[in-house]
Amino acid sequence: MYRISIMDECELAQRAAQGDREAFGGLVKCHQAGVYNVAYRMLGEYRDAEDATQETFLRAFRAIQTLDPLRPPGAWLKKIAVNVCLNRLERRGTLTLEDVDALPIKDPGPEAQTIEREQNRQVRTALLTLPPRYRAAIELRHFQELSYAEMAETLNRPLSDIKSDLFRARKLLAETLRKT
Amino acid sequence: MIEHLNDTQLNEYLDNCLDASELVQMEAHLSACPDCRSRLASLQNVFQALAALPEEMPNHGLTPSVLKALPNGSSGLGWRLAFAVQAGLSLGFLLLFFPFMTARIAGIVPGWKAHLVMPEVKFPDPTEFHFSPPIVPLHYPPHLFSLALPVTVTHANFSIWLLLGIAAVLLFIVGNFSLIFHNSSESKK
Repeated sequence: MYRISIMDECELAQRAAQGDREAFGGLVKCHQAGVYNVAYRMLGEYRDAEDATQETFLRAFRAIQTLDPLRPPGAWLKKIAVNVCLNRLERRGTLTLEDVDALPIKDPGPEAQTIEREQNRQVRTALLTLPPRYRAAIELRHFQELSYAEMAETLNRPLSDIKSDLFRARKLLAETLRKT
Repeated sequence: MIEHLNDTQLNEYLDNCLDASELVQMEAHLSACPDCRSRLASLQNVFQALAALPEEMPNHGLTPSVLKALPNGSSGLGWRLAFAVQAGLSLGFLLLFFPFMTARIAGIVPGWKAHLVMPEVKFPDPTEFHFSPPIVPLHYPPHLFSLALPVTVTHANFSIWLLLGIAAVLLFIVGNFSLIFHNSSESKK
């Protein structure tokens, strides 16, 4: 994985904001895995996740002037990714367990198959059966570690709705995982 | 002793969003209530399961394909400049062309009411334009706005004005179709 310091990231973001495509390429290399994983968790299908990753970086490139140069760009990119995925999910609608089973899953290879535990597959499947809003709430709280207020800001929704979505999402996940 | 804990309390407890007094009260309740402990454990399982999800690695070809899809940095500025020039030229040509043409048509077509046919042009009284010698300056009706243009219209240069008008309309149409096409191809990226 391509890693650089937060200071270098901020410098790359500043240069990218001045139109330096090479600097933006550095940000892509640095954050593509993180953004891809947001998309993969929310969409559950690797080709969709790749498309969403591409769309996220394209949006980021267009909006790079709005990025606070003093903040590391990773969190900003992941917030864009969540919104990109939400838009895609709204078009797609909620999946049932049968729909999730029918999704083309990336072949993990023999080595990875032995590593990947059955529980992880079950968790991913349970995540994919949640309504899009609930999935976004789980993503922002558990994987991006945002506060309730930051989640409300990212999704542009009232704080009470965000908390309600998050708590219901956890309850649904708990019920689904208990059944499997 | 408080009643059974509700979902909000349990979630806020797990999210470390309770103040010290609430925390003490909740922990006291949890230590004494197996039902609430069981509900808490169920939620804790969710936390643990989510935390244990491994990261997936994207395909190696993802970065090049993302970079390839980025719009050319200079093309955006170029397009914006081109459209600004196109809009400015179209507007300029049309400002010159429409009053002249409406006056001309009014002279040819009996009963022609330019302000009824083209109300958006806002030149309701084109009768101030004359084409017979002597040469007169082209100006817009003063009650709309006062603009003395350094041009003259005569029968002799009529064809030039006509071409100017056609060029304006074509520029307007071609420019706007290019803009729509450009925006549509950008949004597909």
